[in-house]
Amino acid sequence: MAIITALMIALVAILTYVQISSQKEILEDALDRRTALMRENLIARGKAFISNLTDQVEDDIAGFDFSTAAETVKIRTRENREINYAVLMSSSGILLVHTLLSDPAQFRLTERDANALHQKDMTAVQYQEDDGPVIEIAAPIQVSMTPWGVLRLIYTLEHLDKEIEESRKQIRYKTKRMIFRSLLTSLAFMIICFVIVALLSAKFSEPIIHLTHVAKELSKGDFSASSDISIRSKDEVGVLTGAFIEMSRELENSYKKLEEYSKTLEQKVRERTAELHKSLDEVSEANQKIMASIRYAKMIQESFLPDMEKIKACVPDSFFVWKPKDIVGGDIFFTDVFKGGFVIAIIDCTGHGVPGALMTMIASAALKRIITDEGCHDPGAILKRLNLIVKTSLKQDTDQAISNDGLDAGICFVRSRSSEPACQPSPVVRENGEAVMSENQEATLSADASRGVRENGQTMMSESLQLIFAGAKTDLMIVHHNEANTVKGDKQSIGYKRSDLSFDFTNHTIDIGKGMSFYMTTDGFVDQLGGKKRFSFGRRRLQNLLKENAGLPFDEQENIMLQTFDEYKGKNERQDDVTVVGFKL
Amino acid sequence: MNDLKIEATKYIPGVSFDSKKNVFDVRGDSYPENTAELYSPVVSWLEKYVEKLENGKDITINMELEYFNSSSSQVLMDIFDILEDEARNGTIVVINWIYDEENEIALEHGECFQEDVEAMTFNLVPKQL
Repeated sequence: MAIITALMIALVAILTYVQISSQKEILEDALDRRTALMRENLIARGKAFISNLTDQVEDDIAGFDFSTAAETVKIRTRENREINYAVLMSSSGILLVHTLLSDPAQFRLTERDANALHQKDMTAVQYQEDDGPVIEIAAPIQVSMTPWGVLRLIYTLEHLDKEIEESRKQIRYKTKRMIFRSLLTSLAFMIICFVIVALLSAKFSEPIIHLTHVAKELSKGDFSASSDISIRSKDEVGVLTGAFIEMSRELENSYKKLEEYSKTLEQKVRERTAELHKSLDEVSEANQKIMASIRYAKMIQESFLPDMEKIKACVPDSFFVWKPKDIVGGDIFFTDVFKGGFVIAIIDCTGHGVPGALMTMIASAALKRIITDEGCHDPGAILKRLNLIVKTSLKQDTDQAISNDGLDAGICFVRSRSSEPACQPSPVVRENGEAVMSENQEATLSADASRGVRENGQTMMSESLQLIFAGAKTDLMIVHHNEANTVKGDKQSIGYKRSDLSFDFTNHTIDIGKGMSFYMTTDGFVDQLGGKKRFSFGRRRLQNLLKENAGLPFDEQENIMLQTFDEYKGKNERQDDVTVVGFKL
Repeated sequence: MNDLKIEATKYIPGVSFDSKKNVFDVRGDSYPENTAELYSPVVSWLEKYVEKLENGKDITINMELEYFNSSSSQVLMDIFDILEDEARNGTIVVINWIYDEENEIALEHGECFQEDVEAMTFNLVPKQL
């Protein structure tokens, strides 16, 4: 609207300007023509006047009456108000009359005066004088056909200018009136235009504004708004309105469908969530049952652990770490104190968790039968018997064997040097320097031994003590005088389909010296992954750890071992159960 | 016969087999909960494989196991038994036991297996850094 108005105003202004400037041009042309005409009239009048005056002057001069001639010129020119002044000069340049000069002696001959002297015809020349433009009409004076001089009449154009100025004023007045009239016409025209534009725009824009309003309502979800629209015309707006009504109907339909979908979806989500909750509850209930069952199993497994008071009373300098990876585990340790000595065993069954724990039951029960019930204390023989019991219990000795499970074990039997191990003889290998320690050390140890072991309330002196060790893939570590040594067990596991029932496990006999510490671990300790490269803890690291701390009280040693293990493990998960036994006599 | 291809997970090693060169690659850790169940198809596959092996073909196994539990160790021994039998029948079987020199346990296990085999070639190969 504003643009249209501006364009209209500009158009009217341009038209008015063009009209006025052309009108002004015409008027100015007319004025110029009139000015020229007036000038010609003046010249014609001047020429008539000068020829008449010339005649009189020539007559007077012919009669040598120069004063009359001068007077005639003066009087005649004074009468004519158009004439500014008159000059009469002889050809020799002698001034006879100059109407503006009272004293002819003041006259100085100018170039213009000199040129006029030789004029032969009547001329009219316009030029500029100090007080404005003038027209000079000059006529030669002849006496008896002889040139005598020249008469010049200088006409002022003052009157002409006044008239021209008058005409200009008239033109300006006319122009102003014309502008005023044009403005009035334009205004009237513009008002008419405004009215027409307003009417037209109302016709087109009102339905569009209404449609916009309805569209806003639609966007808010109010589909009832579209029922207010009606098609009022058949033009583009009508077509647009029709399309809009169609669109809003379709929009309403899809909206309703979407709402329905959404409701169905919500319903489905609720149902699925409920199902999930139910499943979760079921899973969690099942889990709780399993966990309760395992916790109960833990109680049973823990009941199988030895009586700690009894063994601690016998071996006060000792620690027993038993840390299943899960609630129950495949590691177990066994102790038995009897007349003549005691046995400490650690067992690492295949697997961990519940299957491991089941295996420990078999192993513990078997050890109890062999050691406590049958009174067999010889470690090598115990392992051989254990192998038989495990294999036969799991039917691994038959072709129909299902289980391929087994265990690794390390058994220490401490006794007084004089007594012989009970049970069937097993080959006893004396550690003659090459395997564990030198003869010298052994001798020194024996000589220095002064501490004792309490056995059934009596003290067993360590100088008379011997340790017999046998291992099934389990080692014994001895720390003495800041030296750590390993007594390797046999590379034969117990159980499993492949183990040999007739295999004889090697007994290693060590004479216990003063301050000698013994350690056994299951592979959960040395195999644990950790450190920078995520490698196993390793035996060398374990040996160093034992060597460094063997002098400390055993409860401190236990703490340091667990702390070192945890630090090495870092954020890696525990892979296996861990059992560590350490003791000193 | 299907190709043997096992993707490594946290608990089992990855196994790939190049049937053209008869080269196996075994790499990773092995400590699954139920070892026997998991590996019995692998052992069966190997038994069938050596049965159908053409005369004059060699078998190479590159093994890089950093950690394995005791039941996995039993499975390894079963596998080595099968291969040892095959080696006794004249097939050239080479096992490259790849270990990191800083990982003493891995070397120790390798040495242990090396002692048990006779007919096949068991190389202890320090890992190239």
